Amino acid sequence: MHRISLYCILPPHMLKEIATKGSEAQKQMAVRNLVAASRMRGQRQDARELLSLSRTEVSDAIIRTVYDAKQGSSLPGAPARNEGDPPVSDQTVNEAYDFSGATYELFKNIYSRNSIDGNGMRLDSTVHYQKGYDNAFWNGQQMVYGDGDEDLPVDQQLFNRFTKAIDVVGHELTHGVTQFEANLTYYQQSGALNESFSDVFGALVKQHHRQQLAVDADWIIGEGLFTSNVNGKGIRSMKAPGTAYNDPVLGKDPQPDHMTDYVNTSNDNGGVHINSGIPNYAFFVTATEIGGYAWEKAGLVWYRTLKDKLKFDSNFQQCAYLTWQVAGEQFGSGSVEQQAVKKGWSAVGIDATQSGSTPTPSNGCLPSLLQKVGIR
Amino acid sequence: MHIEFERSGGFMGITASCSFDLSELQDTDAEQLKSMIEQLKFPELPENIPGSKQMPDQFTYTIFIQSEEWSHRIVTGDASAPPEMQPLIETLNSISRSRRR
Repeated sequence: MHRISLYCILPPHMLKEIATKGSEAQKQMAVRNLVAASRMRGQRQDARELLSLSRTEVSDAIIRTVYDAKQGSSLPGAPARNEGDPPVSDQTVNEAYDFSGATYELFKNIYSRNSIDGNGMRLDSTVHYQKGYDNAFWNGQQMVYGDGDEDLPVDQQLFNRFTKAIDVVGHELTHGVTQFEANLTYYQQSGALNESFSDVFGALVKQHHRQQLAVDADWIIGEGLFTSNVNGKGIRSMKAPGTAYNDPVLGKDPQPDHMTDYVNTSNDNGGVHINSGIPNYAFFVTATEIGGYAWEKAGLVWYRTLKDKLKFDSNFQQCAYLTWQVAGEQFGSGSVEQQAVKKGWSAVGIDATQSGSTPTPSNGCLPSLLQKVGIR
Repeated sequence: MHIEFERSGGFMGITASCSFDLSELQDTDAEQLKSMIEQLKFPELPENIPGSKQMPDQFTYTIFIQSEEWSHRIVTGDASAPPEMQPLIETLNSISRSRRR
């Protein structure tokens, strides 16, 4: 993230002028600061409208570009496939392209959301990032994928390329959606929620792509990422957190499935990939309790909660209450769907009918703004 | 020269680490690594090269190096590490992963 600059102390009306009339770089910085301030006030609609200021046209159709970093670190890299181009010989490029499309389709066709920002944002991916990069991430503007352990001898390889799993692509893109909606702080419980929402919609992308009923899905995140050298089904299990892998080198899946086993740690930004097992399991129970396709009702409740209700510092209890509230609004108080939400959170030790304590306010506006733009 | 390397976070959220002396590597690899550290002026690098807690699924790297004259630890991340540091991170990552089994 950029350091605070002159743009931070300019009044909003001046920032808006820059956002419409400045150079590309000036527009981006002005919009970024206006959006951060709007999000801090919980004004998501303002944030979306501000984002459209700097665009001369909004696309109602998907726009994808896949880039090739050629094992380097410079982003985005060389263009490898543009929107509408036929498949190329590089399977990794085609996977990033196709699975971005599947993610776009879920959000557009099911939740009427036009791309990550709801405003036709381009979906850019970079593949072949670095050598031996066994990971994938969202950098705030695009997805980045490594090739796994391609640089090691076959018997030492633990990971395949990270575009191999459709839910990984969905997971990363959902981080983008979260960024434009609740913008959950990537730390401790709010960070674990951020991770969980990415697993939830990553799983729904996979199930929607395969047209699978909730009861028939495997609920495994990252299936296919491990090589045959690993004793494991995938990276995480939403159906049975803590059972995805148990390997002599990677260790055992550390995820809890209940609040009594919540992991307090300073690693991994306070255990965001670990404690996500708890809200993941709550969603799994909710979806299978309702039955049918998980994206239709359970997914809708979770999407509306992310889009309209959650705040950047929401915790598990608050999220549970908000999903229960949304289910009541959407399907009726006491409905089968609302009861399923309650049952899902009860399974992880949370009473979803309780609103939870008010989050501790940040120490003033400036520290909060600094946090929002990535400086602590 | 003694090197400790830790990588945490990432899509899996697990922490991997390795600890070794340069003398344990083959001569050419040891020379190459030593040269990288010297060219970077490692002991003069900031201790915390802003790793962004806001960037999902990125790795955080902690590198501790101890020579006869100095010792220094830095913490950085995938997106925050300056380009000139990337070869060192990739090399240490490769050594760490090859020592997994």
